[in-house]
Amino acid sequence: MPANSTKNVWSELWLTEDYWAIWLGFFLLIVGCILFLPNPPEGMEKDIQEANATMAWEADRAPFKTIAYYKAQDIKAGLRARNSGIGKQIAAFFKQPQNWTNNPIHAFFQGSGQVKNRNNAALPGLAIAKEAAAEALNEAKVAEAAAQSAGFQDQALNKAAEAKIDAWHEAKGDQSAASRKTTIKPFNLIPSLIGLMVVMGLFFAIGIKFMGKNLGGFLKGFPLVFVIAVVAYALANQITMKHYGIGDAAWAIAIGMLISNTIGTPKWAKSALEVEYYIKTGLVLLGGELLISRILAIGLPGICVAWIVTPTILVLTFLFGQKVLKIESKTLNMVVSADMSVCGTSAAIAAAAACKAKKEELTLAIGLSLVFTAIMMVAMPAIIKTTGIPYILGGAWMGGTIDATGAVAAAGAFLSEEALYVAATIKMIQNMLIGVIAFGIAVFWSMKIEAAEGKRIGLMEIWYRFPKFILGFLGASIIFSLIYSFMGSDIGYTMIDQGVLRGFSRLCRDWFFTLAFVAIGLSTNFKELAHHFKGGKPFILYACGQTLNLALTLIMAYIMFYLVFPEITAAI
Amino acid sequence: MEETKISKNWLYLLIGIVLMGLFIFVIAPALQNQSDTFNQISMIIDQHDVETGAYVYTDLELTAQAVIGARSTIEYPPVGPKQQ
Repeated sequence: MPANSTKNVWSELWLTEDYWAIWLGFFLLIVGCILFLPNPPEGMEKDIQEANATMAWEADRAPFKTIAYYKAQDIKAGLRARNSGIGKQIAAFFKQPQNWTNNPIHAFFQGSGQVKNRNNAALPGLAIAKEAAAEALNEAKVAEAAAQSAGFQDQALNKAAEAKIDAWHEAKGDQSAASRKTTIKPFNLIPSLIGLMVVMGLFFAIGIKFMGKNLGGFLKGFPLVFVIAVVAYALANQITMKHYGIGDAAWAIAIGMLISNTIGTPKWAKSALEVEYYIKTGLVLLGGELLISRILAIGLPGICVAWIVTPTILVLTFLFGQKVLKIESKTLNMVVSADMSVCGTSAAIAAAAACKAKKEELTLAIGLSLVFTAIMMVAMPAIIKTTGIPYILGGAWMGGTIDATGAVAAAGAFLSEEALYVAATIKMIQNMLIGVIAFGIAVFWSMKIEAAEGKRIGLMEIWYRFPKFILGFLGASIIFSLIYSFMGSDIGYTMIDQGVLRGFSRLCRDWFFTLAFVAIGLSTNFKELAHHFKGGKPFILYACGQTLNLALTLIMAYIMFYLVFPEITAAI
Repeated sequence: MEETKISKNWLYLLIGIVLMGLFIFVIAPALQNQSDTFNQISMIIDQHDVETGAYVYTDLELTAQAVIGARSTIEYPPVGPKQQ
């Protein structure tokens, strides 16, 4: 990713991929708004009002979340704009290969007979889950009634009721999960995947044409990139690989590298290896998902843990790499530091694009993250259980330290529902940092790293060097945060989070990143990668940074959740 | 000479594919079975269909529920009647 030293001219607006990423990204975000915002779920406002009234009433009635409180909360959670007809059609069009165990064809096609067998096989599980949920509900009702009969003044009865109600809510979640396994419908993904390939190829071809690149070559090579992305998704959805958290990014890079380092990437496909174009467009879409205003509504303890520790670790790890390990490549140092301290792959992508890192450096950072994530996803809950660390503290600790969002959820769910909620919330707050950190890195690189030592550079020069797509990335975040605030948390959740974002832009973004990882793999050389790993310094950097991260996050989580905001912890 | 090189490259590709298959179907499941914790986490992943490779919170259903739960706690903190 070479430094951009060209002088700024108006033609950059249609000749550079930075601007094309902004145009295409915003085009998709606008399409998402047009598709979802005019179609709210029926009775949305009335349902929200009633649910809020119930929660307010119940909150005043009992010192814990009652059964009625949880039911009202679940009604709000179930209001989703993407459950509309158009939302379901979009989801079907973007559908990735599905879960499979031994036969990869099942990822793409399952006939009615096969699906019937799967659904029938899941029925006993549903019956057990239903029975458990019904029993848990009865116990919860009895315990709540006992606490109520004492006017909610008996601490022991309150605690017992709270535990029973939590157990019922968890059992209810298990029942929903079991129910989903019995309602699978037959599918054949081949036609929709072909359609998606054509639409995406043409979508990116617009920018390729305006930028004056080889349009014919791009269209010829794009199917190969797309097919490898599909294979990567299929492998990521193999059941054991899912357990390890080896996602499509890792497989896309691995398959790409296997091809490029054996038979070689075909010459006719090279024009489609537009790594930065795919990544930057995906990042602009990701910007829309970073709803800064949203996190203010979900709790100060998590904000303090994520927003104090994360930047501290990022800066310290970068300095450690430069001053102690003396890592030659500053960009590699920064990408590994961001990957480890913020939130894994997504942060690594944003940091790499912001500091114009080499694709091999991004590959290395993602590889390190993958290994550490798989280990930490299993080791951390085991340590928390063995040492008796409270689950809320454990959840906060895992949310702040395990890189991948998915692995955080799996490890949190293993401990308890509360641990899962705390872990996922902290990881989400960390996710929101990506935009600010990418902006900071881009400014720092433009002003300091790329400038000659001791030489001051003017504002215009900083502007010339600044990666412009970051403006789209941040702009999307600011605009969507404002829309979310304007709508209010409840409607924002239903229409933005569960509509425009999860129902459309996220689906596009996911594919764009996978295409980028395929392109990275297809243009990466093993020797070049080995050169960056020289002396094992990136590994040492990651291990030392993560050790410090583990210590600081645990301390900060304890301070915030148990000393500064104990009342919030008690209410979780 | 050129032909030998080409067949060698294809052979390497084939070996790579076989190694990937070995990892997916033999090595990874065997390693997983060494740890009880890993097996229990795997069951939870299957049960809730957790996307363990997810990059961002929007990739996961579980985060939506977590956020609603956390927001409810902040907006309507259960306080109950005053303790006597």
